[in-house]
Amino acid sequence: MDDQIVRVISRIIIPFIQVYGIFVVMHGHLSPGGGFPGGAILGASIILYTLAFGAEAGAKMIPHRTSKWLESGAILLYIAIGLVGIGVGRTFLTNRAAGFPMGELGNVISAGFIPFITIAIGIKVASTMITLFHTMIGKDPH
Amino acid sequence: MQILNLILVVFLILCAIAAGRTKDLVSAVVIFASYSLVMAVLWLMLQSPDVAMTEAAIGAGVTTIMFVAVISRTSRIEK
Amino acid sequence: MSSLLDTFGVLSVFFWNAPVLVMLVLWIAACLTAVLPSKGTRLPGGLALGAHFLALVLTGYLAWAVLIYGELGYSLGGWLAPWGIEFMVTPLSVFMLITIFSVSTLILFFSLADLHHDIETRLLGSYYTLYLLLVGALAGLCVTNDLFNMFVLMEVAAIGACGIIAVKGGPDCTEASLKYLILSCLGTGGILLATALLYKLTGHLNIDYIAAGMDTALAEYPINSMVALALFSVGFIVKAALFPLHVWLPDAHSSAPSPSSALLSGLVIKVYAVLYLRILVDVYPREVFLVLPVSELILILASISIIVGSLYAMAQTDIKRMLAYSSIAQIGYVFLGIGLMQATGITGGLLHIFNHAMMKSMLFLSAGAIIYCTGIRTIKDMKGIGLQMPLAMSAFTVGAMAMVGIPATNGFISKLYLALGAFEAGRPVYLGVILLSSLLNGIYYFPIVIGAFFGQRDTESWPEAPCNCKRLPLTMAVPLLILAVGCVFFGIFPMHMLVLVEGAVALMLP
Repeated sequence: MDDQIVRVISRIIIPFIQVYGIFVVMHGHLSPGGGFPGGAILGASIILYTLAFGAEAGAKMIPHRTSKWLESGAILLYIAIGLVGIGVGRTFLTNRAAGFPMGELGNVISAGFIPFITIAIGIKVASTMITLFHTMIGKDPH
Repeated sequence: MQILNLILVVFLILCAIAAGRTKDLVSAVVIFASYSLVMAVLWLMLQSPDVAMTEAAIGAGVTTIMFVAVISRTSRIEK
Repeated sequence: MSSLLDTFGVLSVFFWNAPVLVMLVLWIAACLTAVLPSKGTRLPGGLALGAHFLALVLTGYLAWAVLIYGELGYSLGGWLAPWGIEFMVTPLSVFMLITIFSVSTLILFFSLADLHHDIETRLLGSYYTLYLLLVGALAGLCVTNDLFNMFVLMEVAAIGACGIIAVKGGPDCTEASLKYLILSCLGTGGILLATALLYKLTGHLNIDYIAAGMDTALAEYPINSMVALALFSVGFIVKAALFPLHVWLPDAHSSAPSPSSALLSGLVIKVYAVLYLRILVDVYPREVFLVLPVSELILILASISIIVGSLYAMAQTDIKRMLAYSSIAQIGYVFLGIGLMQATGITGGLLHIFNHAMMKSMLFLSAGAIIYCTGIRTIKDMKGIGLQMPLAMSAFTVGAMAMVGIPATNGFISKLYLALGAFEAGRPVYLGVILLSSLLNGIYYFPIVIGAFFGQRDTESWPEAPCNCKRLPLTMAVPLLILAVGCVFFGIFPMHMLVLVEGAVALMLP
């Protein structure tokens, strides 16, 4: 797709999409949204970049290896946060009782581990979108 | 509000029927994207904004691109 | 001394969280196998085996704990039952965990050597990822006590199962896996709708709380709760591949790589049968079945499944396809036990889950070993192969005898209990079904065995073997040997499993 208009518009619009995606992820415990919608928006911004600038540029921005590692790493991060509860002698995914600070209602850093878990979900969803898209447009190995 | 709801639901059903009956797959995908967009508005009216957000991002955005990516590797006209 | 205490403390924390860790260790290993390099190393396979051994240790602890305490509850995040997700380890779930992990460890051990010829090297790591995801989800399904959690785990299991079918590549596998994906989505869709209906009726997702609210729900909204039961029935029957909704199974189980077939036929379809039993017995009060002929329906479908599955199996020429149709017949036995709605019958049905998991995975693995060493897939080419591959064919023979239900094999015990259950329930017709199907099993299993050991092989049509090895590799021989010994052991000494199953049934049917 070699189109000047698409490229210019994409270059302008992609940062805004990404900021919106990060906002949705970060405010998962305060407003509608959360890890899944925010991650989908972030992933969609990278897909838009790939569409506008070609598969090579997209693969250079987020290489396949990186997105693979991000995918697994995000789940492991989620599990690790959950295991903190087990580590302090309570059950899996214990939040307040495991010593996570609750913070003040309405702050971004509040509600214990919930923001961190939404970030993990957001990374996972975004990298899954990118991996799926790159796999689909990639060269068929067969 | 009631009238808007009715219009949206009717449009939704028409989109669903049209997406099923179109032979050109790319048109079907575009109709499906508009279906998702209307669905997102309906989710919002059903008091579930987070589902609406997800539907708009996934249904209208990502799945459309995925469908187009798949169609570009097969044939465009349904046989 | 203090370090010893520390170790003990860590161990006790580890075991105390066993209900969730039994699932988590597999999923952590699944994440790691997805990213670790799989080319030229045995790392992913070793990691998967390690996770399975840990899970076996945890299952052993859970069995001990259930023996002592009866039931073991676990609330995720410290949120108690009506609000949070609750895991409940009962004798039934311990029985299923033992079945799942003992069989899947052996299949995994077998797959270490077998997979190399079936799938590309770069996909090996992904195969173990999917395998571990699937087994972890099955383990979670056995311990969870929450309907929505059950739905999510069923979807994870469905994705894992589709993956290990499709991983081989090629049009056959892709088509079979797509068929499975669509039908399984329909099944889980029905279950999700039923869950939503029950949530609307009782306000709970936890099975115990739904059961408590079911009486009022049935009195106030009888149609809604019965629609929910119908949706559950259709959903679980699709997933478990009972007769009219079995169409996905033969393709899926015969085109997949042999370890996948063994896992899918041996374990995956059984778990859904157990979940259906839980829905019928734990959620709905017994009075429903006096009004609705659910158990009659299950009995009829199970009987048709037993006979039609056997008849189809007789007509097959491909060995794995025959085994797949035989699975449809055997899942019929499990549902026959469920449909009898009576302690001895359910004991027989549940025992058949364990026994069939062992013998069917052994049959699939020995077929896989034969394909691995000689490339033979069709039944008529298998004449005289017993002399070339004595171990694989002996295991096949033991499996065939267990399938028919010859005394001193484990298949006999479960069929005996099913027959006793049919008598005690006052329905001797189903005794005839069991006998007839044993006869049919004999008709299609024994000619293979006899031909393999006493037949003359025609040397013309000789397919190319994936591996030119004279002897079976050790990693393939050992699981076959263990499974064969297990089939005979649990046929002669069935009381260990029987005690567990009878305890589980006594808890379910007071």
